[in-house]
Amino acid sequence: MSNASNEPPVDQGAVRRFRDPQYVPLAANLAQVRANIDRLDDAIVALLAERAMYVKDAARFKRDAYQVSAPARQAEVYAKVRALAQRHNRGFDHLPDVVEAAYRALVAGFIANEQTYFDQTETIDSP
Amino acid sequence: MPARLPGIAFGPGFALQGNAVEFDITDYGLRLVTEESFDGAPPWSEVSLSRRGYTGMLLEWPGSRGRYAISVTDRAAIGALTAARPAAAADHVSRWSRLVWLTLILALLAGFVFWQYNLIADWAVPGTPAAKGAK
Repeated sequence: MSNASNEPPVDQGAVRRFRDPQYVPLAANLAQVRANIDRLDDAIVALLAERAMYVKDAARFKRDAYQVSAPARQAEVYAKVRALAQRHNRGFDHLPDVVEAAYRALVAGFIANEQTYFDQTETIDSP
Repeated sequence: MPARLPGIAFGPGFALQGNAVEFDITDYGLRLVTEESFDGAPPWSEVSLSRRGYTGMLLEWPGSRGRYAISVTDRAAIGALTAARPAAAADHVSRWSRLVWLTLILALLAGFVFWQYNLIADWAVPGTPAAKGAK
């Protein structure tokens, strides 16, 4: 069996290089790359968990399913994260597309749960 | 031939995060390709257009089952919508124009009645002195 079909070794040096001479490597081996990705995933998920709680809280301010859906807000969020991706991009092609796609999936999940939380709320009686 | 544009639709019958749809725009209004009911074919007078985010456009209208919206981010589609807006705006202006003229005519009529009250009273109730009617 060829080595090419196996998982790559994580503690060895690079076997390929970018043709771009300006490219600056970030790690000496794949283990370092994955350790950094794991560190970032931990931070990203922690932030998503915090974001989720604000999504839940938002249900208290909505009057119906249309307001939960908030299409104008969704459009703003996608435009905003695309702009953020462009601003923070350090050289990854099509990063805004990747970020928007990720956010569309995230928002779909968040909104579905926000609707569930909305169904668990009741109208506050006017004094 | 109406222009067919892509967008993401929200409202009754659509997913909370919206569904990709196509819609036609004409001089009359817009029509969701997949929606045959009235809710999916509002006239321009019912549609509000607004710029959202940095590049997008949002179309909203009331329907019998609730409020609907289409989010448009495709540049060509936004261009087509922008070009279609004058027709909608013209319709809006003409409705305002009609309203202004109607108000003006009613105001003039009321002024004439107030100014020529005695004459009108004499005409409406023959034989009754206007001065008596006014008491």
